[in-house]
Amino acid sequence: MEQASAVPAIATRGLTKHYGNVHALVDLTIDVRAGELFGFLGPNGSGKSTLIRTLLGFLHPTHGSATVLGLEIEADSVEIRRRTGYLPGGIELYDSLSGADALEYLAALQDRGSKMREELCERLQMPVSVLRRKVRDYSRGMRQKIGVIQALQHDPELAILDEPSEGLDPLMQYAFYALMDDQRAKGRTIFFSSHILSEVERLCDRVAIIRSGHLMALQSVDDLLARRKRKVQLRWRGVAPDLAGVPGLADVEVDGDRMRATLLGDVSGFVRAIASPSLEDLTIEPARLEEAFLEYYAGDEASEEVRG
Amino acid sequence: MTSLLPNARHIARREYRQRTRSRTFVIVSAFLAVIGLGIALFPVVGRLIAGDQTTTIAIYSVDAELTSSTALSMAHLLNTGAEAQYKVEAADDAASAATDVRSGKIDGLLRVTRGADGELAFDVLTDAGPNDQRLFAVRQAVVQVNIADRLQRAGVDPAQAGQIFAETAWKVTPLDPNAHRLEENFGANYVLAYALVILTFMAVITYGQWVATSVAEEKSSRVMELLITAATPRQLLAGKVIGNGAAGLTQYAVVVVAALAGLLLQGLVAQYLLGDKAGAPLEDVNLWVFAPFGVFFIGGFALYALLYAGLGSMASRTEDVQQVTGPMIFIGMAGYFAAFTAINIPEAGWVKLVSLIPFFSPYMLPMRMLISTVAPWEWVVGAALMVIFLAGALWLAARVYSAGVLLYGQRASLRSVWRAVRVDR
Repeated sequence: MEQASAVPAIATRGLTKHYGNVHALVDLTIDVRAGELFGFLGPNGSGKSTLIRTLLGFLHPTHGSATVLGLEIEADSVEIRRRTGYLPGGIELYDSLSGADALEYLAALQDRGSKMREELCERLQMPVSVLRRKVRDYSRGMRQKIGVIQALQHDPELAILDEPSEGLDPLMQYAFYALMDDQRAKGRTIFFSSHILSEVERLCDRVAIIRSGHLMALQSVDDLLARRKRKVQLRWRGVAPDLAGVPGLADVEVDGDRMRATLLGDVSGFVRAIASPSLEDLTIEPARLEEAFLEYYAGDEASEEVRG
Repeated sequence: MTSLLPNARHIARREYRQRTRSRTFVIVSAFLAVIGLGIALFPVVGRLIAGDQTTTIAIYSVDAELTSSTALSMAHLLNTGAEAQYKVEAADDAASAATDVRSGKIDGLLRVTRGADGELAFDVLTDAGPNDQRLFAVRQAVVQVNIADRLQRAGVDPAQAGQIFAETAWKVTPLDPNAHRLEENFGANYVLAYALVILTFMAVITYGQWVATSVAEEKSSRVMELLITAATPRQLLAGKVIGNGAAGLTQYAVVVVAALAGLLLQGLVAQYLLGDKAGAPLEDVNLWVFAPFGVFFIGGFALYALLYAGLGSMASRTEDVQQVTGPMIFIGMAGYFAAFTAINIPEAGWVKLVSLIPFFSPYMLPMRMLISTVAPWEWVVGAALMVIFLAGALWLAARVYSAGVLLYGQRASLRSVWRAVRVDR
């Protein structure tokens, strides 16, 4: 994957937004590199949508600044909106238009062409027969698909998507992920917010975690996963050996011939240590973002606040 | 501004289609068309209900010759106008004639008797009220007949009698020949002026409200959030005003066409229903008024509609729209009342001044043109002010709109809107 340019797709500096006494964003400094898939994780009300709205110029920051595609958010918001694709959370469309008309209308207004529309409609399974029907007859998932299509139909260099897979059934979620992979392969940047951990894990290069307007972590997904404690289970023939010296191994519990422990970090040291003919069964749980996530939300952030 | 037009056109088109394709629009337009047609045909219907226009009088006297001569004279005296409004017939039998009056077949029975002294006496049997104009006319005619009879009995030569009854020289010299020129056409132009004021007021209030509601709906349904990335606030505003305005004009056109059809067919309908050509054709109306009226109507509507849109964006739910657009109704009514007050004093100083102000000019300038005069410079100034105000309204409304549509869920306090307006977006 090449760096398309040195200019970050999105860069915020101390971005702060207050609504009176409510602090929606507090001193947020992140940057999204060109050509990466960047995920933005946070619980409901943490400020995800506020950040996106601020980046697109719908809201003005109380303090701080930001650039999108090198353009200032306060001065050049019209140009920013012209060059990005945007999917709002909970998209609403005109009920009286057909799906095709809605896409056409938005393309015409934005005057940006719709070269990718056909491909998107095919990959997200929106045939002409469905596009002909009026939006008021659409299911939640169909509206969401229209939303995704209108955001990407002009193949923007940066797409900002607010919870894009919401409402999509699992099959369509996979189709959507494949789309995202392809966009990145083309060098496009995607910035999306989500609260689905598996999705962020599957898609993103880097992820930022936000809580109550504060940035909790900004790391590559790989790094986050590498730092996770995984559960391991072993079954020995006969008595379990003593594995006290193995690096990264902790919380060892022995129960007859079964042993449970947690493993942090490098797997190879552990595997070397347990390579023995008396090992009958081994389970190493895959690292899950969930635990990292929950750690940040359980309040254990002091030890983990690392910038990646 | 160059990018304003294409997007505004797309938006206007979508807005127009959505309005005109709604079932409500079609039903209301059809309903109003029927009403328009009805109003246009109302005079005919009114006459139909009122019944026969001609008044029938029977003359009876014991002396048959007196009867016929009186009948002839009366017919001649009463029917001085172009149309024969009185039908005078000689009655053979008093009793049957009296029955006819009672049954309504004839309007009155005039009984003539000659007294012992030779004097004629006249007695009218009728159910007409004592203040009925026709009684006065009949009485005047009867007086003439009586005087002619006295002259004859006095032995005056018929030729001399003819001279005595010749036309009286009568002339009115007006102080100012132009002062009452328009009162000659009193009916038509005044009626049209009233009609135009009412039409303008209703259009502004109804269709302006459409614009406000449409804005509030988009905001409350959050379609706005997507639209605002695609089009600038000015484009959205212009599109809304034009689209809704065009839809409103369409509805008006339907009604006006129906009414005009009714007016034109009045003659035919009257003939069919009343059996005679009883229609009053479109009187001498100053039809040139429709040129400036059209211009100021559109300008005025756009002005009001822009403000409606700005206000509409401050409502957080569609239910609040009525509340928030209240001020517009006040302004509209102010114009309406100003026009109605001014219609009686079109030459007054304050009237001339106020009629140049863009909120009032659509009401007052066409009205003044119809019943008074408007100087060319006044047209120019009025139009120029309208353009300036429109530009200002577009600027202001765009700011309020772009601030208002994004104040999700928050009741737009005046202060927050003011703050948002001051920021360039």
